Amino acid sequence: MRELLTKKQLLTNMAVASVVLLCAMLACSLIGSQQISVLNVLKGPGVTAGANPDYEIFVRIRVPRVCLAVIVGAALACAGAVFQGMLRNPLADPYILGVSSGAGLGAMIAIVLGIGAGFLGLSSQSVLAFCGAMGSVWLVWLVGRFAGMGQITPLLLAGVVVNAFLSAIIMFITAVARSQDVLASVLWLMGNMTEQSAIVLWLGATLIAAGIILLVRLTPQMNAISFGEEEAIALGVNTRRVRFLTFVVSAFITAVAVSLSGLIGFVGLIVPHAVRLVFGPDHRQLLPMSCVVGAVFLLIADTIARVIVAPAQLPVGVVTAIAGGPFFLFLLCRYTRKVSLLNK
Amino acid sequence: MRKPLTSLLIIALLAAWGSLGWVLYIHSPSKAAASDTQPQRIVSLTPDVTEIIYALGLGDKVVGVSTYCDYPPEAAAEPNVGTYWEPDMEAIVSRRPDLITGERSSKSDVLQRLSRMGYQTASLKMDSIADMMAAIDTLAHLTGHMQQRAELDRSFALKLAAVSDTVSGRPRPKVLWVVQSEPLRVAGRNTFVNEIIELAGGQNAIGPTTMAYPPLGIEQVLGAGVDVIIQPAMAGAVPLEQQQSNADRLWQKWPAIPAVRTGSIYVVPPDTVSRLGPRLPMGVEMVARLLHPRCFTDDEGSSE
Repeated sequence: MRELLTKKQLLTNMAVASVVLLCAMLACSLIGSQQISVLNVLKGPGVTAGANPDYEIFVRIRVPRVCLAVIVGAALACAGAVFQGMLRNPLADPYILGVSSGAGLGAMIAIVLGIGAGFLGLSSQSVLAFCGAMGSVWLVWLVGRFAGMGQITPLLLAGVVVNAFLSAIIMFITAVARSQDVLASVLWLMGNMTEQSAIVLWLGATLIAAGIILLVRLTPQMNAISFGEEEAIALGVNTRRVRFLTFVVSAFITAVAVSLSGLIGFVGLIVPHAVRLVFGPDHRQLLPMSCVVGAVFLLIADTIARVIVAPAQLPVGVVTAIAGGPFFLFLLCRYTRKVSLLNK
Repeated sequence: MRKPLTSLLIIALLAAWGSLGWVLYIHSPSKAAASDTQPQRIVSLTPDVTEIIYALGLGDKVVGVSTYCDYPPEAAAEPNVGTYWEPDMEAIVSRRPDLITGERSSKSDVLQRLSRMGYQTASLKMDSIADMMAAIDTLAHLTGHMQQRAELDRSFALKLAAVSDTVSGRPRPKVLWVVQSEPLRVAGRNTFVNEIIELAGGQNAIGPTTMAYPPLGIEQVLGAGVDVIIQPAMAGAVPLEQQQSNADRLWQKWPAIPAVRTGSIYVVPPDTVSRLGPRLPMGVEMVARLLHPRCFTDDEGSSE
C-alpha cells in the first residue's frame, strides 16, 4: 500500500521536477545543428539582419522552439491525464473526443483554400485548426450528452465516430486536392514544430497555463470521481459540473496546443501513464507532474528531431513514438506489479 | 485563508506576465523592409529557382541550397540547408543570407517565417512558363543582372522557336502525360506540362479538369484515343531502362490504346520536363523528338 500524498512531498517532487525542466531547457537551447558560441550570443544582435548569426539562431530559432515544445508538451500530457481519469479508460488521449480530426480538417481547409491571412503572426491554418478542434469537441459533447445522460460510453463512441467521419472528409479532400497541398497538410498532421513569434508563444502559454491551473484546482474532485460516480456524489461533488469543466478545459488546451504545433501523437497517451506508474494515481500529483514530464519529454524529442539527421528534419511525432514506445514498455513491466493502471 | 502577501505576489506575477505580453506585442516584428543594396549571399530553397539563379550568372553569390537542388553541379556542392518543406532553419541563418528564394507554394511557410525574422525573401510563383519568365525578371531586378536576363530571354525564345518551326503544320498527336502510374495520375490542361506538350507539337489527350493533376480511370484513357504515353522517370534507385520495361508491361494489358499498339510509350529523364526552369527548351525538344521523330531525323544533317 502506497502511503498518502503529503503536501510537503508534493512540493518537493514538483520542485525537483521543475529544476529538471529548467536544466533540460537550458541544455536543449545549447544543442542544435549549428555550433554556436554563448559569447557570440551575449554580444547581442548586429545592426542588420544576419550580422550575428549565433544570436539570431539562439534567440529567433532555438529559444522559441524550446518554449513551444515545453508549452505543447505540458498541455498534451495534462489533457491526456485528465481524459484518462475522467473517462476511466487507459486508451484515452487528448485527441479522443474528436480534437485531432477536427483540427486536421480545419488546417486542411486553410491549406487547400489557400487562406493566407492570419493575425498576430498566427497562420490561418492555426486559427482554423483551433476552430475545427473546438467545433468537433462541441459536437461530440452534444451527441454524448443527448445519448448518454451523463454516462461515459456514449461519449467515447461519439468521439470515435466523429473522428472517423471527419477523417473520411479529410481523405476525400486528399483525393481531390492538388498534390502539393496534400503534402503540406500531411506534414502538418504529423506534427509541425516551427519557431513561432514571441507574442504567439506568449498567448499560447497564457491560455494553456490558465487551463492547467484551473484543472489542477479541480484535482480533489477528480480523485473523488475516479472512485466512481456514486461515491463522488455521496462525497458532495457536483460530478456533472466537474466533468463538464474538465472536458471543456482539457479540450481547450489541447486545441491551443494543436493549433500551435499540429498533431503530435503519443505524448498525451504515454506521459500520464508513465507518471501514474511511477508516482501513483493521485490526480493532485499526477496532473502537475504530467505537465512537467510531458514538457521535458517533448522538448528532448524535438531536440532529437531537429539535430539527429540534420540538415534534414524529422517530424517530431516520429521521435516521440520511437523513443517513447520502448521506454514506456519498460516502465510498464517494471512498475505494473506494484500499482494497478487506473487505481481500480 | 490566503495570506495578503501571497495575494500580492500573485497580483505582481500576473502584472509582470501581462506587461511582458504587452512588450512582446509592441515589438512583434513586421515585414522586412526591402534592402536597396544588391544581394551578395543567396540561399535558394527550390531546384527550379536555383537553376534560374545560376542561369542568370549569379552562381558565385549562392551560399546555400536545398537537398533537391542538384543542377547545375556547382549548386549541388553548396552547403545543404534541408528541404523546402522541412528546412533546417539554423543552417539557413548560419549562412548569413541577404536574399532567400523559393517557389511560392502552400507546401512551406519557411519564406514567410524568414521574412518575419527580417530577412529579404523572394517567393516566386512558378506555375506556368509565363510565371517563370516573370520570376526571372524579378530575380534580375533584385540582383541587377538585367543584361544576363535579356540574353536568357533571347536564347529561350530562339530555342523554342526552332522547335516550333520544325513541328509546325504536322498533325498533333494526343499525349497522355503520366505523373504517377499506380494509381494513374496524369497532367491536366492547367499545368506547365500542358504547355510543353503544346510547344512540342502535341495535344493533351485529356480535356479540361478541375484538378491540375487529376487521377484517371483506365476507361477514360481508352476513350481518349491516346497516341503517345510519356512518363517522366521517378528519381531513385530504379534505372531508367527498368522503369521503361515496367511501363511497357503495365500498358500491354490495354492493346486497344493506339499508343500501346504502336509502342509509343516513353519513360523520359525527368529533370528538364518536371522542373520549370531554364532547361525547359531542352525538355520541349526532347518531347518533340518523341512526338515527331521523322521531322528531326530529316533535318538533323541540315541543322548541324
